[in-house]
Amino acid sequence: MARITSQIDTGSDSFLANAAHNRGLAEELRRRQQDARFKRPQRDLDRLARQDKMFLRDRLEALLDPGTPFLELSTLAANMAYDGDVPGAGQMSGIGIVSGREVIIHADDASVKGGAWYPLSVKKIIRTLDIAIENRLPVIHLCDSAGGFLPLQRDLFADRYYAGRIFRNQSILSKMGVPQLSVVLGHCTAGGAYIPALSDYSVIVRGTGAIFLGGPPLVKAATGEEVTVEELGGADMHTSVSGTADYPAASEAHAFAIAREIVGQWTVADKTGIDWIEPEEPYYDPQELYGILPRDSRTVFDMRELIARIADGSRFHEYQPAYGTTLICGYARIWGYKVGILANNGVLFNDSSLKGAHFIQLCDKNRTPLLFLQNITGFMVGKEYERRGISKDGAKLIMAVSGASVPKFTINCNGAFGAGVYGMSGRAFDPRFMFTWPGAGTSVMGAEQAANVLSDIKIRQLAREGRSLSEEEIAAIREPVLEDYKREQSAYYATSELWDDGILDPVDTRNALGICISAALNAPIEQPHYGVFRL
Amino acid sequence: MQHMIAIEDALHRVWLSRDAQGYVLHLGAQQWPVALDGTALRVAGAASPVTIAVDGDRVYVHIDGAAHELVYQSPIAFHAAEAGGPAEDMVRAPMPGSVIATPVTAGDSVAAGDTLIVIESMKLETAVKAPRDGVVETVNFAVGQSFERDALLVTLASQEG
Repeated sequence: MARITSQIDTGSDSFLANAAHNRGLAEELRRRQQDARFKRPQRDLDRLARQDKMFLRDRLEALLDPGTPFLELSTLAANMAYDGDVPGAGQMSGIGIVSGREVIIHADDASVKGGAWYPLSVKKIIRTLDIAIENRLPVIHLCDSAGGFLPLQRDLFADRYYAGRIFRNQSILSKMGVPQLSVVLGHCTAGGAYIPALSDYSVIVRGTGAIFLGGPPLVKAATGEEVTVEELGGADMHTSVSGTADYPAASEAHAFAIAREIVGQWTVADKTGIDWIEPEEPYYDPQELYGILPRDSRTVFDMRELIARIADGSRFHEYQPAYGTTLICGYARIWGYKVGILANNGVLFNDSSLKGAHFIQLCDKNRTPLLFLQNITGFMVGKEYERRGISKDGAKLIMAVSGASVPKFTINCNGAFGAGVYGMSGRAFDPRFMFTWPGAGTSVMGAEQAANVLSDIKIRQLAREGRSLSEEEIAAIREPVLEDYKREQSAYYATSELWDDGILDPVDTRNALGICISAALNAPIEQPHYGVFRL
Repeated sequence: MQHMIAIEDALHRVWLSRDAQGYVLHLGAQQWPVALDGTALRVAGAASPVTIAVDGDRVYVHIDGAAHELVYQSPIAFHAAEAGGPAEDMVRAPMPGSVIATPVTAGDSVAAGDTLIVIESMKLETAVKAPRDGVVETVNFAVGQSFERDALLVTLASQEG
């Protein structure tokens, strides 16, 4: 495969200005991630110490194989919700190696509101288990939760993708033969009790771990019975009397030693074989990504320059290089794995949509996972394009994206606006993993256009009532809309709401994809089959 | 969690991980590239001839003119012992039966695994053992007495501070 020849002048003013801007965004991301992981009110850390509990990050150290990669997901979930008081939505999710096996870890963070489940906590746990189901990844639950956050119970209890889905997903994993282990490090109350109960294996720490449907105060209120935590649901009771938990542990360190040995008993599943060769670092320095991404997301740039800094050896075999040129399609390798890349170099026209749909089917037949690099402002609009059938050609691309059997991975590199997102494997199209770069926006249309559309509607409404507006009055309508839109289309908002699996520093993209592709290959790939393409 | 290896009674936390070049030795928070080429152990580039003999969880290493005995420590056993074993003070009957021997009396010190009481049940003689180190507080049955399942046979003095 030929190496991409970069056209970038790394000494140009615009490159240097872009680099300064995007490095700033990456630094801000790292600072916010660091805070979400470690910054806690002192009283919460003191409480953990008093309870003789380890901090979540120390628990991870004790559980994981040293010196192995760990990909944390949705670190900044809930960063723009609940007044910013619930970092990470009070949950940690990530893919790592335990006793030589690839696993996904879900952990309650007891240093955040006692590990209480907020609506976004529930969404994050369900997403973690959806990843486990889609990729057949064994799960380790680190349980330490106060239970559902009652003031917001209506947003976390009853609906299809609310708390019950956690336990449904656990049951489905078991049915699929994907093992789960719970380490009970704190209380598992009410619904939370089902996490260890539905796991194949569970370890419980004496003195701090407990499992019960109703805690001592609730039991007292309900029946008048007075009972201690240890009697009601402690380690010795559950491991010697009820059989709800399997292994008693004398301390958290002891529990993690037992947990690691249990995981060591799990048979390592054969991975799905796809085309792989020895990996090669990109020829062009990934640090140059900072200088390529524009300061203003509306500035056009060539996505081949990004591919050159993500793909092994910067090598790329471009498919149909002269046709439908606003959608770049072609083969490359990431950490040695062959992938088919679709990347936007402009709006989607009829020809680019057809090219994309065709290329997806080629990759599917070829057993080649798909990587979507989004920089999309939509499908082309207008009389000419509708007459050529832009809607039905877009439908073909969406049909291909939805139907593809090979794993899909999506990165929003610069922007994901409008219906084009559907054709580029947005969140709703079940990419196995989806990440956003710090400067990339997500919304049904750009902020400027949305503000104009909404203020136009208002102006016309008032005009019908015979009123006209001054420049200032128009600005007064337009500005708040623009502000709201900008806030809600930011990468931080998208990740806060779990529209993705996390924000990535662009230079970390290749490593993250390597872990994701490896994880995805734990699941078999179905034979290609599709719905009806409107020809 | 790193492996634990005792060398001449001092406990070391170590781990061997892979990287693109080969292996990396982790010792606590420190790391060095290591390789074993035939009979030479290479640590951070410096090679020393080494002879290694393995006997179960014991490894004998001869290096730089000295012999060392390394003992692999199971992390489960280590952390269980570190925490003082299970807190259970009450030793209960695993099945109904009668007592045929009482080798300990109140006040005796016992180690984990010592026989506390010998019972006969279902034509089998069973030695009921101490779940942890401790001091016997009471022995509740005498030789010849019978009991039901879960009867409290022996109590160890509580370790609660």
